[in-house]
Amino acid sequence: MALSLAFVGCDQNGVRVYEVPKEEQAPPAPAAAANPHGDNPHMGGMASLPKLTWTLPEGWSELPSAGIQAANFSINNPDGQASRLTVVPLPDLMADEKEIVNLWRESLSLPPATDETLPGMSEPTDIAGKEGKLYRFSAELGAIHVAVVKHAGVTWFFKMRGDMGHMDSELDSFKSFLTSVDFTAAPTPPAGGMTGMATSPGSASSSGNPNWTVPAGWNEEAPGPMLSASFGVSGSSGQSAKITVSALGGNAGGLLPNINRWCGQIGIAPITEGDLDSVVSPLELSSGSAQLVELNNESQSQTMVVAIVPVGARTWFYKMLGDTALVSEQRAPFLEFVKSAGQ
Amino acid sequence: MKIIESIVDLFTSLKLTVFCLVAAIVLVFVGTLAQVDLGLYQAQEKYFRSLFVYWSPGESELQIPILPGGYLLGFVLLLNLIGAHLKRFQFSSKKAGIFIIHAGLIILLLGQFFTEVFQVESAMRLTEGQTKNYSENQRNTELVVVTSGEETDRVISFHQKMLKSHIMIEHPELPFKIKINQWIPNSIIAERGPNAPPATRGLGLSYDVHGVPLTYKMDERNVPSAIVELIGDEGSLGTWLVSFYFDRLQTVEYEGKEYKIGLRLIRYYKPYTMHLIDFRHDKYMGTDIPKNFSSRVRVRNPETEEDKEVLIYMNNPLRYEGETYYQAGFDENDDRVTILQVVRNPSWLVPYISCILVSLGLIVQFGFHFNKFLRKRKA
Repeated sequence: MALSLAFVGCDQNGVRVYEVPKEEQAPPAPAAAANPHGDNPHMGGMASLPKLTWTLPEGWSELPSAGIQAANFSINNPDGQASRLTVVPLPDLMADEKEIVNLWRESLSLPPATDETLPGMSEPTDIAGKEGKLYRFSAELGAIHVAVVKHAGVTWFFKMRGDMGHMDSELDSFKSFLTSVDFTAAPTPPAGGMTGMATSPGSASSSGNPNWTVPAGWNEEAPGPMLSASFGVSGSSGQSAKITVSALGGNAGGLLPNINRWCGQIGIAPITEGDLDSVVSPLELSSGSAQLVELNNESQSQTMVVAIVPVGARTWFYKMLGDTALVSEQRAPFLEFVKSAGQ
Repeated sequence: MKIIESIVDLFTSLKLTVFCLVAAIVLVFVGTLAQVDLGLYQAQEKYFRSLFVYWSPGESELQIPILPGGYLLGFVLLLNLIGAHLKRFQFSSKKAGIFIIHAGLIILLLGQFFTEVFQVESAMRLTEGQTKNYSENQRNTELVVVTSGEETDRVISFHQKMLKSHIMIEHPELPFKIKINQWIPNSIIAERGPNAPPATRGLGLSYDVHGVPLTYKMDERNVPSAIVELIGDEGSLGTWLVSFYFDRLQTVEYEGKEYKIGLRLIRYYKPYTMHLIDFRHDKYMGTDIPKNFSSRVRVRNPETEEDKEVLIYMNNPLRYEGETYYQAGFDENDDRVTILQVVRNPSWLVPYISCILVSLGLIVQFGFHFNKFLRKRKA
């Protein structure tokens, strides 16, 4: 590690400016901000999380986890949109149980729990050999099943959300999944396809990426924050382009706001709803339809191509940005790359 | 002149000394009891690191001073001690011991003042095999904007004390202003429900943030979050949810340049690195009570070309480059993790000097009287 540390400015009304060596890769098992509340400030730092393993029920698939999630799953629903299960370790909040329960109820537009009604809202359930609580709420907006258990000072939330009928049919699978969870298993990769291992919260799990085929000439680069993958490609005349892949929850803010954000990135004027057809075209994939956005800044010879692929409750963005000539040349390999992901 | 004399008389009176000492006893008593509700840190801030202790009737914002705070008592006691010396005491060999004792007390009070002003406490958390060149403040966070150069990152850091709802912060090196749309001093993050996202960009698209009451418990900390809006020349660039929950900074692209923003514990970078070679954590057999824990670290300083191994264990801290590394804790979920408390206190020697002076003064004074007694007895 380079050690030159140059402080170029110092505390001026709470503002500091300094230069530090570039940070190295994440340290071993930093465990993110899994339990930032629960840590003893006199003991320093944030608590590490135990490694988590499980056995996936039939029809469940693991998705890349993001933000504070320890794990993220899609649960196939043959009749409609997939339900989703997320595993989130949070501060030891059982003392504020009512507050947490009311967050879930509020999201379903249900009336808040009171001290009197709260005890009747949960049932005991087995989670990793420990006694946890299972909350089940349903309303017109959908249903939420949440299993909660404390382990080593951290409260773990296993939250499944989806269509009411589908959630009820998956209840037994959910309970068997909870029973299969192991907090103490060694962090070794799963032997088969039916078990998984939690990634560090906040990390884009490379193991959770689709099995895409990387076109020849693309060089894999270290993905930046919030990116699942990153590639670089160079042209014969020294041009360059960058391909990034990221996945966000929901529709990630909507099509038009995202396109206008990308317009800003390549230095062209934002578009209106009426202009969408001129930059967006449908993209047929084996799993369904996606959208392809193409933006061009002629004056700066910059082009951006983005494939927007909705998968379950998330949206994947495949983005290529670079010199117009090179991007045109790489357009076909780029589309093949997107299709090879099989999403 | 009479007014000045009255003031001098007041500040040099023994009554004032007694009043200050009694007030200090009361302050320590109520401050200790207050730790039950406020926790150690808040109680220290309210009762001991203040000029006055205030009380607010009901939920009003009126603040009524009800007790002198620790700073005020210490300052008045110091003035009183110095004033009384200047006014009353005349140097003689008979009173040399008393002079030395009082000099020791004055140095002790001044030393405490310098400690309060200059001491910086932080912690360094290391996993075996990990190398770090910074420690972190365990109470306060900073909003950082980081730009990457070829070999270094340039960090612009705004202290938590600047971050309040609806304020705008800016820096000449940043092409955008940062508006704090919402500052949440203690928060929880939950996955977003069907409601609108709290922010239009980044992680705020996927998560909700909820404010929770401030905690004062010793084993908990407040976890702030904020909704920040970046405003460039052409207007808003969007809003971001930043939180200590997120373990990484979020990327913002603006005018062809990449910026990373986030909220994290305040970092104190060092011109040297600490590498944890081995952490040992022994417990008494059959219990979880720590018996002994120690960290073998490697310190590398390219400026001095030092490269040495040091064993840090309980009651055997490492003093290096003006900082003291104490073996402070461990991670109950990972036996490879050590937590070192890092204290920078430029006046750490002052209490030792003070104790030596007071001891010397007592020896001189009692020695003088003892000698006198012996001589009388001999006669």
